[in-house]
Amino acid sequence: MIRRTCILLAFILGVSAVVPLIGGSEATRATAPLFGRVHKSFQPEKGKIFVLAIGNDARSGNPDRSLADAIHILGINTRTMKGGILNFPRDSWVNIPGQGSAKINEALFRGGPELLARTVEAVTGIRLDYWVMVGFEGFQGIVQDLRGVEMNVPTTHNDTGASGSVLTAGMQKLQGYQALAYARARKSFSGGDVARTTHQGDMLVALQRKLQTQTAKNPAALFRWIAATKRHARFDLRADEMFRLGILATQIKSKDIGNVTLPVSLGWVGAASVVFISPNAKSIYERFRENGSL
Amino acid sequence: MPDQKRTWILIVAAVAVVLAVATTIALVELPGQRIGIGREGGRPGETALPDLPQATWEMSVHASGVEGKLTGAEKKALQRQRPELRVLVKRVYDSLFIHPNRLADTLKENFSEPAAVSLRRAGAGADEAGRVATTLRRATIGIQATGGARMAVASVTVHADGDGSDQPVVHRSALWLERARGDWKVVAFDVRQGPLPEPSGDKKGDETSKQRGKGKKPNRKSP
Repeated sequence: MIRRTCILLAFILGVSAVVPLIGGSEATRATAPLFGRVHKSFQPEKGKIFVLAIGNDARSGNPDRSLADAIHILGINTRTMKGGILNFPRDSWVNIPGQGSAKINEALFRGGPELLARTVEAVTGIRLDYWVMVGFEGFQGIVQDLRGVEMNVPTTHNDTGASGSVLTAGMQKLQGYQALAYARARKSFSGGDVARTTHQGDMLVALQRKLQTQTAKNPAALFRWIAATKRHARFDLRADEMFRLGILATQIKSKDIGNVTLPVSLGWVGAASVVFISPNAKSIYERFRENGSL
Repeated sequence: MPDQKRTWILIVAAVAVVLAVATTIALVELPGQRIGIGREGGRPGETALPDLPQATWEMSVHASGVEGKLTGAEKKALQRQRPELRVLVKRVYDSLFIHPNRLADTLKENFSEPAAVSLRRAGAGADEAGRVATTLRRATIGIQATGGARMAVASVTVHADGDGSDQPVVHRSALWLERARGDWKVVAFDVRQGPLPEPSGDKKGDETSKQRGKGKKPNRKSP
């Protein structure tokens, strides 16, 4: 009899002991960080986030089977609140995992954004957390939805025969079609592909500056940016992850974002014109990996 | 039958003993927290304080990030979240300025852990209860219209007087909010606090002040 009573009493006490534990674990889950897509084990407490930004050459939509025209790693250090943009010339000759050597832009065609992310990781040793991809139409659409972007164009150029970019030097607001043409222009610049990828990085900084200015006046403007990105781009982020990344982006001053293009040398592989990444790039990768900023 | 009856008597007796012991422990261990009743119904730990004038909340809630018209479902989702967000914002700023002894509970219940830690470090708000009078309390809450109203941001301005400061203080902040499992949580915030400029004075002092109230630097915190 007493034994049965004790068992019942133990059960009652046991339940009361377990209930708070359930509550505790629930609370822990609710506050647990929500980042982590490219690698499931991503830990935001490391204080650095790296995103691969891809511009593909598809005229419409964002198909996997296209070439990457723009390849950039965006880094944010959440402790120092500094960032960096590392620009890859699209003709960089690299080893694509499982595919052998080729131009880096082919990785997208051969295995989609995931293979391009793995290629960039293999080249730099930087662990990427997310990727985001946009095509010609999408990029133009984003800039248009955001009502233009203020850019400082370094040189007057006329690229009518190629990208269609015709701009005079100086600070100006570019509309969607102008921003796309400028981001694609290379033939009118002596640096060619290298100048183009640097201009793309400049444009990313200009967009971030606009985001920061708008959200400083009205924080809810971030939702317009998220909506524009969702409408025109492909990405591997959940809505809440995008929200948190967006918040981070609003907190960084554009002057604290370094825009660096990989040092390269021009060359040929067979009949193909390529660029070889300089061995000096290793120190840039290392600095970016360690600091999350450039 | 008598055996079964005895068993139940024993169980009831045991439960009664457990409850009695638990109640006794609670009363013995928490005597200090039962002293005094604060304003607005009061809470344990609050002492009665003279009422200081507090500004009426000016609050607006609207949909953000949407081009064109909202669907019926989006409108409903927004309507459902409006009251909860209003209550949360009021609670956070009451805890910051009027009842700082409630701040710990508010941070625990309404903030993500990193955001709570950051807000503590920011040192915004009042140091002691009953010493701050607010002359303006304004909040604009934007809710992301699409995706089931799961994200929001509240832009808040509070003008406060007192708390040992010689000059009125202007506090501007943004609370970034996420809704998960039905509850809203502040996941990040951005606070700027500094001396309130004279009404006819230089407006720059308000927006670009490098001095926070009580001689501290302005804070900008991230998630």
